[in-house]
Amino acid sequence: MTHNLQLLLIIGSVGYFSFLMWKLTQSKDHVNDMIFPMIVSLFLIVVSIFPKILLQLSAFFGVQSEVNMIFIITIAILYFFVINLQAKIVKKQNQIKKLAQELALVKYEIMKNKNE
Amino acid sequence: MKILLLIPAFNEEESLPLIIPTLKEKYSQFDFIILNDGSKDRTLEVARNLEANVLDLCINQGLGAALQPGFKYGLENDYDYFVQFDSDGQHLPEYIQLLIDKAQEGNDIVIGSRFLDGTGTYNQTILRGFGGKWLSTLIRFTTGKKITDPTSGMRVYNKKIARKLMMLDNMPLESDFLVMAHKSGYKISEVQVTMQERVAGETYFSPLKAVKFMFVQTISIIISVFRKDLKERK
Repeated sequence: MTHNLQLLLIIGSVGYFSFLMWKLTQSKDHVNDMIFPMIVSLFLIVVSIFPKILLQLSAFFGVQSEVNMIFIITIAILYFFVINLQAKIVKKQNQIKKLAQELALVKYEIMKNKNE
Repeated sequence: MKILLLIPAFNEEESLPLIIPTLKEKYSQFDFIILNDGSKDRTLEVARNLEANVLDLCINQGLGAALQPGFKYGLENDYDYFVQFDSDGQHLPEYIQLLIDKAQEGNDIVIGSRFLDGTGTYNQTILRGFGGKWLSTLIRFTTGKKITDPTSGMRVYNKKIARKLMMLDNMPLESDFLVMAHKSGYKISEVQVTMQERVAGETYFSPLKAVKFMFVQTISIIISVFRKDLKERK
């Protein structure tokens, strides 16, 4: 790994970590959602400071360079985020549907009482 | 015995004035409720002007979810049978009683089939005809049950099924649901009916949507075989 790339990784991961910390200070109820991103950002800081970990990982999995290993790890993390988000969206969609259905029934009752 | 017609309507301002008066005048033995599924046209206004009972869903939800408040309303008001009935004029109310009679024989779901005894004369495109046959074959293959018209939207459900349908999330009420229901031990039967072309308005089912529908249904039917029993699902 070149020094330039290492520098970029350190700046990026520290920046990401600081951003998460800043977000956490803004609101308390984010803590639960932030645990996984925090672990990811800490991992990124560690591997950018000690790139030998990446070197060993890529040798272990037979990946040609440690940069490719970073790509693989990042893509895997992003996939995980997307699946997680999708599950959350489906849950919210169902909740909105339920609300609209309840609202329809309530509106019906109101109309009925009005007409009586 | 109380029977409730659930009539989902999405942008049906033109066909409702043709259906509601007929139901009111000739079929007053059946109660009905219009489920306005987030229509963008004057469906709600038209239905209310015709003094129909309307459940107005403020966002478009799709067939399965649009029917849910109808089931809830019906169960709260002690209805025994629920008839899913299209608002575009394709379904003919004279067949409702036949379906109810069949349901009373101990069936949980009764489908109004266009192709049961081959006497029906229903014009449809080659693509849709093939689609229906494909789903029918797939259901036969996965469950062993012969359903001649799995895409028919004219169905009767009894209280037991209605109670289940009211609770379930993401239940689109298409062919895959029939597979799930059969697998869970519910009794499904068919009655020959005749259907006509929609009386007014336009179908939202474009060829592209039809192909997507077939694709999704095929996967969903196959997955349904491995899904949790409906009776166990909450």
